[in-house]
Amino acid sequence: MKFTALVLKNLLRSKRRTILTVLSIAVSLFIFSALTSLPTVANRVLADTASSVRIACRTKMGQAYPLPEAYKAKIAETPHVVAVTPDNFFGGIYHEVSDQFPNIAVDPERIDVMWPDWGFSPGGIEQFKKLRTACLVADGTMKRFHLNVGQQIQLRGATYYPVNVSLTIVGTIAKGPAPSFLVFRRDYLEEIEGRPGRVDNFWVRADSSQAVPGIIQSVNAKFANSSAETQCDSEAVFIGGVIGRFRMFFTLARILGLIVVVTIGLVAANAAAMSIRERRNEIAVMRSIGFRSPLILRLLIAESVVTALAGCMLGCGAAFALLKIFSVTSDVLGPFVGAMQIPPPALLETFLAAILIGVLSSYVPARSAARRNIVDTLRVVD
Amino acid sequence: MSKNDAVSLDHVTRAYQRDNFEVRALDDVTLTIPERGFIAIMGPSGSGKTTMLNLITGIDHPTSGRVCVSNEEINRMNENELADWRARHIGLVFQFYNLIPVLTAYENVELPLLLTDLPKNERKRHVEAALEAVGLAERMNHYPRQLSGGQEQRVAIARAVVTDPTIVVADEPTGDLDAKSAEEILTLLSHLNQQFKKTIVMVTHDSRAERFVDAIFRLDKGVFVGAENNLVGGGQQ
Amino acid sequence: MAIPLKYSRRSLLVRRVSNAMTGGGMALVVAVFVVIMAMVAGLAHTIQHSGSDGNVIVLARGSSTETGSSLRLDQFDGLKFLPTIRRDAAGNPLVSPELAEQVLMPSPNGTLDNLAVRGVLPVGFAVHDQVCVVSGRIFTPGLSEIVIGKALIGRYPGCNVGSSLRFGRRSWQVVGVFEAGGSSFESEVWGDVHSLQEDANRGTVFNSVRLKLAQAADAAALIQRVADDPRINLQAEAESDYYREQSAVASQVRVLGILVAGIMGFGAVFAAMNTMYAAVSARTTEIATLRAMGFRPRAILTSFLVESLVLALAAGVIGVLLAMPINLFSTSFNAGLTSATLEFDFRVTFAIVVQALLFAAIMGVAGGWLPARRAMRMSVAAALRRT
Repeated sequence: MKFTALVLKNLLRSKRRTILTVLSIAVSLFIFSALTSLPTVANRVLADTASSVRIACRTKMGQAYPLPEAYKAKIAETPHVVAVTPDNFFGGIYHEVSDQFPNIAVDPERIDVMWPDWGFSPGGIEQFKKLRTACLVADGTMKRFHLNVGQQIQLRGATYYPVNVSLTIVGTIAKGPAPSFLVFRRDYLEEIEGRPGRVDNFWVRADSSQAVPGIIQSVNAKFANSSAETQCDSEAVFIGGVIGRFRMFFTLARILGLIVVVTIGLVAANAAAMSIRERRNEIAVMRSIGFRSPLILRLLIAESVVTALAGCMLGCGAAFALLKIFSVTSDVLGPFVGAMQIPPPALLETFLAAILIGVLSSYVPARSAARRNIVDTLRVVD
Repeated sequence: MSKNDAVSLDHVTRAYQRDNFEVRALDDVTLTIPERGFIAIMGPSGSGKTTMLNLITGIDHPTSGRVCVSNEEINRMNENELADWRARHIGLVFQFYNLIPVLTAYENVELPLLLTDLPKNERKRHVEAALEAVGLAERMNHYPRQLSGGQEQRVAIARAVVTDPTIVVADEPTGDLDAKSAEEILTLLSHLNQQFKKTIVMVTHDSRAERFVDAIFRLDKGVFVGAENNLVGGGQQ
Repeated sequence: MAIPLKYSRRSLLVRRVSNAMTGGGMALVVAVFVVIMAMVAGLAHTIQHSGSDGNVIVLARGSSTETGSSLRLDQFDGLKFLPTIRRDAAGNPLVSPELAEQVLMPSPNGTLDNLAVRGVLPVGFAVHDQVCVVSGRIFTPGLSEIVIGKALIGRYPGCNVGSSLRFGRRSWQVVGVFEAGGSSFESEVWGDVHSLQEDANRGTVFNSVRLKLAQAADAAALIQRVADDPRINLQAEAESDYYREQSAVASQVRVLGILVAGIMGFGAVFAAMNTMYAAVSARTTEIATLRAMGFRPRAILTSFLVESLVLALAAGVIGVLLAMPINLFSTSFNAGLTSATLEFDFRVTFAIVVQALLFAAIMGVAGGWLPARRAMRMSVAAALRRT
């Protein structure tokens, strides 16, 4: 483009102004890209972790109303069911309440069949099936608390299981449902509790995804009108429901994102208008040389767009870098955040926002400058 | 330097570094300006007239030599002292009037008085008197953009004299005015000098000024080439 | 010795459009700040108001929340006769054993809420003295009757006096609505403790016991007494302390909010700097004239800082006004997988308004500082020569 040099020279005319504008746009787009990423990241976590052949059959009524153990056999009878694993949401505390991470107790027999995608460490599963006090821990948790395989840890019961458990770490989980996670054996929990025979949730694996709706229907029907009704959903729906609780935050994030864009727009418009106003005479001179209005308009808008894009690159770059630093240094958020690298859709939205800002902010002043009466302009004494 | 000298420059030099060259805006200038004198400083472009004015008002500092105004060596003062000193002793008139656009004529003239301790009603008296003296009392509440060039300059002069300064310093006061207005301004300045006994130092290249002043000091390339006593004005050298 | 304020004021008006846009940006940042803080304040207020002065909550030793605690009947009996517990007119101790559950309810927007259900005895209403029934009546012990908190009206199907709400294993008849001073209790369903225990197959287990202290009694003494008693193996805490700890999540949101607003503020500061630098450039002759007249450099600095500050404060006021209507809204919040869903109002408090204006002022000073310094340090001679 033969006019590139001209556009760039004009931007460098007042370095301070250009730098300040780029910085303010960068800061705002940094926030914008972060906020826009949130819902996308949440959905991606959903897509990544939800399997299409797993079903969650949980108690319909709430944690106070667990399901009886006996349901396991009955569910297993349902056609197309490959495995059934009962799970109790223990929700124990390791160290402080603020360090809390999800932990569950499951029947060990079929966990490799149920969750082949979790990436259990080799040998971990065998040990888990052999040792009653065994537990498997997510990589994130291992790093966060500097744990090693073979170490013994204690979890204090909170919520509905007011007992403490002593566990031995026998293996790790590479890609569990949460970055910080722990699984131990349900029969051990039952024993400590005095065998109440209760289950919070039955995980069911279907032989194919087509069989899922059928299984859901039959299991719900089987226990309808009993003293402990079930609510079965495919795993995707189940996790979606969990994430849905944060929907308010996502809505807030979206609205904030919008406000941020408008704010930036104002800033950019301001800078563009100032810069154009100062060059009124020059623009008039250029037109008298022969530059046509549409061309001048395009050049001025190009300047503004270049500034906005520079801000976009800086802002997104900063967001990227920050997330990278986070994922390396933070044990808590690390593994989670590492997955969070501003997803392409968010990048695209940010990019588009930048272009929109560049165009809209300069359009009005550029148009009036390009069209102004040459003679009048050159005659104005400032 | 005698007691009657308003301004005295003693071997004053002002030099700048321009890349590898040293430029001397003023080169070893020694001169005195008597009290109550109406002096014009003339010379071609680049002769150092404005530099000399800046040195006299303390806006600029000499590279070497002494500048005394009203018996005070101003080249020894620091920024804050100079500011205070200017407020008390100097009245400035510029070529382009330099009125504050967002203030009315009254408010512009009042500005220097804000640097004193005078109460509001006292200030009002002085401002009105100054505007009367320049003949613009009825335009007190007009903004500079509502005044003609000549009127603006008169407001500027009112502003320059309102604190009753020791010296009025004018830098090309008629430079931007048409013939008629220029005459008016020069007459006004002359009037201020004679009636109110104000010392006026004026840098100009307006030949009309020669008729009004007591003496003409000429500069050329930073060197003081001489003073001409003006038969019309009178006054000592 | 100062440059008059009217100079600053009028100079701001000269570059009207430019300053309006910068001010607009700052106003939006302030508005966002106010909204987030209002949410935090509302949440914290609701939670913290749940604690009554003079009430003590007793949990199983080592528990951090009610739902994670479990007490037996004999432990409750041991508490009833501790000294310094207030008695009612009939001489009965004001001690309330409570069951705290969460049941799943499909929420209006399709997700599942954790509805907090509390089982109490009639004495519970006396212990939680901020609770009062505003329509209908209290449930009859032993029956499947419930009363609902004000915030729940219409939230789920059946949440009205006269209707019935289904959860657990049965349908519960809603016989009344209660108010609780805007606290988290207003997001709860209260029913007879024994009916609820039976429905959930919980035998005679409670989650907590609330005690009301006698007038001027010392909570610390009672707390120590409970801690020292080896037989009952419980821990006691003033209710207000307990709820303050529960609102920890609110402070996390606050930190996030300050972070977001702070970063946006940076953007606004850069914008303000831009505007002020432009203003300084345009007014070099004026500045030089003022210096030549005898105004000190400091005066110039102050004048420009004042300009920047006035713009920022005006923007701050507008931002606060923009955000005010949020006071009319309430929202619900779910702190995590195992917490109850809370309904609360946004609260724009006086403290928040002051903080918002302070924030605006900081933005103004930060944005105006460097340009004002530039104006102050300008070479007067050079500026005058340029004309």
